[in-house]
Amino acid sequence: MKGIRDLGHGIFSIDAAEKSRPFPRYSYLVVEGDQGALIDPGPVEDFATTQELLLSLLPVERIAFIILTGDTPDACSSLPLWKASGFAGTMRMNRKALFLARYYGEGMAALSIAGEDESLELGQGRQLRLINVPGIPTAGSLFCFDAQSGSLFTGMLFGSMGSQDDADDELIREQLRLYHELMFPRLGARADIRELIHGIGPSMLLPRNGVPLVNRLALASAVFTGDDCGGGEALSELARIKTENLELKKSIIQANEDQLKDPVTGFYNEFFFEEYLESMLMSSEPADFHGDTVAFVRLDGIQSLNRKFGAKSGDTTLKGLGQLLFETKRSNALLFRMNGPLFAYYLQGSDKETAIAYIQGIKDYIEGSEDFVDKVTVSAAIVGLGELGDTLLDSGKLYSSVMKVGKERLRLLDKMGANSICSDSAITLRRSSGTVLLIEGNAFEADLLRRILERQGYETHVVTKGSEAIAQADLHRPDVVISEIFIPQMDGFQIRQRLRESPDLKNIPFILMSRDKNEASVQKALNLGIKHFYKKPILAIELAGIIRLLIDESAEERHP
Amino acid sequence: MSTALLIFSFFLFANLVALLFLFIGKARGRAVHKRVQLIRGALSDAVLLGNIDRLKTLVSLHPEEALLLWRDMRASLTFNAAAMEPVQEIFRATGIEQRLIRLLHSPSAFKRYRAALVIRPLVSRSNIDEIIKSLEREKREFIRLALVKNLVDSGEQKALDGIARSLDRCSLGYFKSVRAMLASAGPRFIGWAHSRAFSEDAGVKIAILAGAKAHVTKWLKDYVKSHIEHDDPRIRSTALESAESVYPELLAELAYEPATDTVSRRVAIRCLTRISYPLDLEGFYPLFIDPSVQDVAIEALANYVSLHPEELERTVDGMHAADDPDIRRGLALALSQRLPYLLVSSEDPSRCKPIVEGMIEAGKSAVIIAFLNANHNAATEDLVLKWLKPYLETQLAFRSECAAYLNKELRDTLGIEAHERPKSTRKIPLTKADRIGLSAVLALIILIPIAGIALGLSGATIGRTWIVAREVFRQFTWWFGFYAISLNGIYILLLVFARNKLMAQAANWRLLDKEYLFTPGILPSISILAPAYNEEKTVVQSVHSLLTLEYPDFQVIVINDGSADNTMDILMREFELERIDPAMSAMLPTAPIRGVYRSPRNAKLLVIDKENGGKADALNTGINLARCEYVCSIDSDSLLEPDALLRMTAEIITSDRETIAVGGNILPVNGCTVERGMLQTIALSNNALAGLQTIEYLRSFIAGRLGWSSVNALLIISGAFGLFRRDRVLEIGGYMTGHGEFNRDTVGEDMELVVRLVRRMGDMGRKYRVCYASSANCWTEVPEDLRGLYKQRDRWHRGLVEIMTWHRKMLFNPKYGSAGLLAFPYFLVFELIGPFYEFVGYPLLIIGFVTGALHWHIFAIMFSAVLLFGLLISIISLGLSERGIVYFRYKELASLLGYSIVENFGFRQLMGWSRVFASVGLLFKNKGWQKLERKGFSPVSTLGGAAALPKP
Repeated sequence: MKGIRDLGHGIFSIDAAEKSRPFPRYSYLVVEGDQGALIDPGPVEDFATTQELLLSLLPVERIAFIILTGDTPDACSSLPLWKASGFAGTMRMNRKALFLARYYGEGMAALSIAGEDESLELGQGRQLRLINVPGIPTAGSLFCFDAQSGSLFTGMLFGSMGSQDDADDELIREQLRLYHELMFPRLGARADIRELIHGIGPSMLLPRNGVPLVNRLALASAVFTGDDCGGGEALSELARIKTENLELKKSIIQANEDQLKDPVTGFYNEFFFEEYLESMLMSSEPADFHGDTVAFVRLDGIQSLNRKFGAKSGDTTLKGLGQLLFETKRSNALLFRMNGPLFAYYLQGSDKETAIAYIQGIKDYIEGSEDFVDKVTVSAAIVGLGELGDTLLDSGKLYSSVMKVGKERLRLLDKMGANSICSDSAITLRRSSGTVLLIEGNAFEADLLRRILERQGYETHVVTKGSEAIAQADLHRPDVVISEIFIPQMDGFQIRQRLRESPDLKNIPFILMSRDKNEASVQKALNLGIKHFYKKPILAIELAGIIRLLIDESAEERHP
Repeated sequence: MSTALLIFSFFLFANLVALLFLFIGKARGRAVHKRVQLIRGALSDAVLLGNIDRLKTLVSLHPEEALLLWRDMRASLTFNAAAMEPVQEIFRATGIEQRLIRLLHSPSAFKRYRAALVIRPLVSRSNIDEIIKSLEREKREFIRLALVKNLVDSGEQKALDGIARSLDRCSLGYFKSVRAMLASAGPRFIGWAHSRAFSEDAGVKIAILAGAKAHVTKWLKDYVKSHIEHDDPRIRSTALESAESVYPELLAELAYEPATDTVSRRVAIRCLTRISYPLDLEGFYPLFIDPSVQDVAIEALANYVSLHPEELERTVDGMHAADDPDIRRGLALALSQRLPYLLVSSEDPSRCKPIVEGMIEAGKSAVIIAFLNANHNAATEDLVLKWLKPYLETQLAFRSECAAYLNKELRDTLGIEAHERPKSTRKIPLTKADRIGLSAVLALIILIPIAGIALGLSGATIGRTWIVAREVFRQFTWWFGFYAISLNGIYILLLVFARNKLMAQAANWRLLDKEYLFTPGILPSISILAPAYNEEKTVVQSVHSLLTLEYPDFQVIVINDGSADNTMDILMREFELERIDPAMSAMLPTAPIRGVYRSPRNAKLLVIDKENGGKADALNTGINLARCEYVCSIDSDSLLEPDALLRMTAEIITSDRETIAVGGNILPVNGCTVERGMLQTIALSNNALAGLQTIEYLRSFIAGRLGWSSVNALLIISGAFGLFRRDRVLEIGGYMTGHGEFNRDTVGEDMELVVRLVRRMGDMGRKYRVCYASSANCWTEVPEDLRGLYKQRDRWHRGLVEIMTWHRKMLFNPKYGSAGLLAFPYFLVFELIGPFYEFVGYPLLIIGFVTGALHWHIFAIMFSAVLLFGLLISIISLGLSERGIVYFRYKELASLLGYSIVENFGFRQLMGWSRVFASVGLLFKNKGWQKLERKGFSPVSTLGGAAALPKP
């Protein structure tokens, strides 16, 4: 019958759109015994045709599964119609698709697959494997693999422009390239997906929007390499303009990527983390990520590393650590590099206990790792999104809530010492007499002062580069800031200026110290509201005393 | 054949040895760094934990290094005696104290200097006599100052006596420095001063009066008062200085005493206007008549008026009421900076007429011109123009100023022709006679070898072209080889000098600690001159970055050279600038100033807004307004390392000989990351051209400038970062510009300035130094495309040829010392003529080899002499640069080595050829000042700066 093709091994393609577009829209049916699985039933406009074609093969009641590879409205909207027309099996899709499907019809007997792969059994033991494919923009993220026939249903990936399936390699390559540039301009060289597919080893790729690719795995994988597929002169003028547009878009995206990536580790950075959390809030209900957890992993003692082996060694170690974290990463975890020696995991679908166990494993692994020159340990702060409470989540400030709790726990970690995990803000600790942020460019002087202050019982954080000062002040919320004027990258006055501009930090007492104490510098300090300016050499005991007085004063102000 | 192989393998071997030393040096640097960490750790353990065992071992191994670190530690933090004494004891136990005291007697000045600086933490009651004795014996002032610092810090009364004694019959510089140092004397000063109050010794009096600046007591005030009119000028000036800063009221009454000496009266007049309110104007009038104080009276009254704006009306009324023309003129000039305000604000602008007239007569027309150009009120314009008209006929200087700087409409109204602009009357850089002479000299020198070859050939084998050609090749090759070897030989010699100088500078820098450098009176003050032309995007960050430099006493003068963009507005907004009426202390002729501004938020900043005149003109304006001993010229895109100024001036304070100029190290910033106007990371650029220039800069700065400076023959100081003595620069009339006595522009104004300074010192028969601070780094953008690079090199070379021609009298003239006997001949042979040989030399060498005219072993010898010798110099330079100038990662070092090989195949030849074309262009084309309009490429310079472009 027209519109249906038998692909062998009980697999049929259903073409409801009938080649009316630049690229086709196929639904697939896998039949085993008296049961069938329908993959990607298609949008509402195709429903009638698809149903008619399907009925010629199998009654609707005998379909055990409907599987969605994507999460677009296109894919989800027809589900209620299938339900109404007598479908009694289960629907499987990823979580994002499920939210959307619920929007179209309440009470769907649908299940999302979360994180790990899972297998469905069709008829008498035919296994359909559902594989989560993370991070394909707009196209959903599910592959379905039928081991018996070696077919991989790839959804929107591997579609092609045009639908002649007898085309030669050259043409197919070009069609694949055009399609992917149009649909996935930001796909890039996704080595992970390529590895994934090679790991599965399918003999046939069945895309939703393109001809079946039989034994053309290598050809298909080429779309991830960004290789030039050639055939440029065959492009029509329209296609050329489109290509140029795509190039432009790509470069914009690339520019965005650069902004969103951390140069040291190549991971997405704090900005992206923020965007990611905020976008989650937009696209889903709080209840859906209630069970997710964020874990912050921090490299211990980066200052002493820098001191021991030179300023570059901190970065090198962080890079190595990043590599290690990436290698041991679970597939449901997303990894980000935050400001400072800090990484963040977003753990989908693992509750806090699971997360703690998981992070504990990573921590032990790193401690035992032989990849670093020196012994390297990490500490972790874990925040369950469920902990945050609904009010926080409803307020639409997921990122800032997570960071607030996270920073609080990171601060607690400072007091708990290296190589520990903090998952609870209520932990009681030996109270330190106060926290001091020391900004001093000369590593020797900084170290000496830190030792003096620590002996007085102050928790001391040292910053040797001006550009790091604000971030560290924000992280540790010190009771007192001590700063030299001459610091690389940003001088003491500029730091004071920045601190004053921040509503949270402006009231922290600021002590300036320098050799260059003269009329001009004092005037400048006064203009910036600096009350304490000491000329070096400073009496160690005087500095310690002043800090004590300042901390006592501010404590009194808080609890009069 | 064996000779060729021998020479080739010799150079190859030498290169490998140099490479080995490069890596050994790098490894040693790391070892030293580790040792320093170790000693520092031990020192803090000793002080904080009382754990001295580790320190003991380390101190016995490296006593001097440990002592320096101990001194640095004490300069930032001090502890109670109980914690410090054990450490002191360890050092004493090693006997280093005795060793250093013995070194204070050493015949070597550097050793004495070192001992004086190192011993500071060990100075105590027990050895203070030794220090005082060596202070008495010591002749070199820079060492004496280091000793005085030790004495002031000890706080002992005996020490102050010693200092006081040293003030008898000392030089002015020493006297001033010590005076400043005494102002930071410790609390025991008062007790000492009290006990010596009745001493008649001049040194003691000076010491007490200097200390009075920092210690305020009733009896010290009386002491100052009783010495204001002392007969000894040094005592009097010290008293005056303390009085002016602490007790101005003591001086005010002296202002009206005609019997007082002029210096005191001038100070007194300033004090008078500072403290009295309301000022007795009638009483002030006589000061305008006395020519010896006239100028200071005008300045003081101007300050008074700007301090108390409400007194403006009274002063204007006084001016109209005054009968005496001198008084009227004085009042008019005092009001001149307020002229725009008076013209705009009052209902009766006509009363400003005397002010305008007085200003024109005194030749201070800039404010009037700037006002007219900015003014939009037709009535006021008519009025002022009417006042001006009569002067256009009588005051010719004023007329040409108007012609140059008034707007076109205003010029038309006044009937002045635009062609009267002084710019057009500027001389062309080289006159026709100059050019013919230069051509003749060049031709002669280039022809000699050709003639030699011809002579060698004459009589031989006529008619057999092949043999003739081969003979030509041979002869030429020998000449060329001789040239290359002697050039490289000179480089090697310079490298030997440079190495010694570099080591000395590094050792000197290690000795100096910031505590010493920041002591008042040790380092000279510096005015940084930053010209800005259309820099609205970067100006704020550059200025912020300059203001954060680490230096005890400096000011930043930003000169907006008539930018066409918003540079000035952006500066105004960012620094909340307010207009001031500055006292111009010098009068180099420049384009008119539109206004001078200061920032209430930052006392170090001064901004000058002026009409466009080019970089040299902008710098001259800055020099006029600078208040410091030295001026530091930079390019608008210069990025200074935070301690660059300290490292530069560290050179000045290691000799008593007058340092007229110091050059800094220029490095390409391409590839480095720069954020907020500060250098974040240092890296080699990926651009090959920038990489090639990096190795070229390193080589030329180390082998060239450092080497030349060690024989005091340095003539090139980059305009991107150079320090000059302000008084000397003023003596020679500042930078060469189209204004004033030179009436001529040059593309190499920075080199020209140094040559003229050196010439002046030679003419006066003075001893001087031109230094090069090898570790004072300045990072600047270099061109990344060939076109820009070619243009830049063309400009540099043109500047060089022009300067050589103007100052040809210095050549071989022993009056100008090593500059005339070494540097000038070198420039002539290797920079001016050499490129011509290279121009034909390289191609001929290749052609000769390919055609077989040259036997391959001659080619091998040439190859070794030219390329391997050159490579050797690059490697040695790279090795030296690792000693404290700039550190590269191994990967970057490898690519720099790669570049130093690659540059021999094309890059060096290209740079040489650009010189040939520049010379030829200069000889045959009349390149006038118009060629200065160098637009459209990055303003980069090591010779000539192009930060500020002249108006089209």
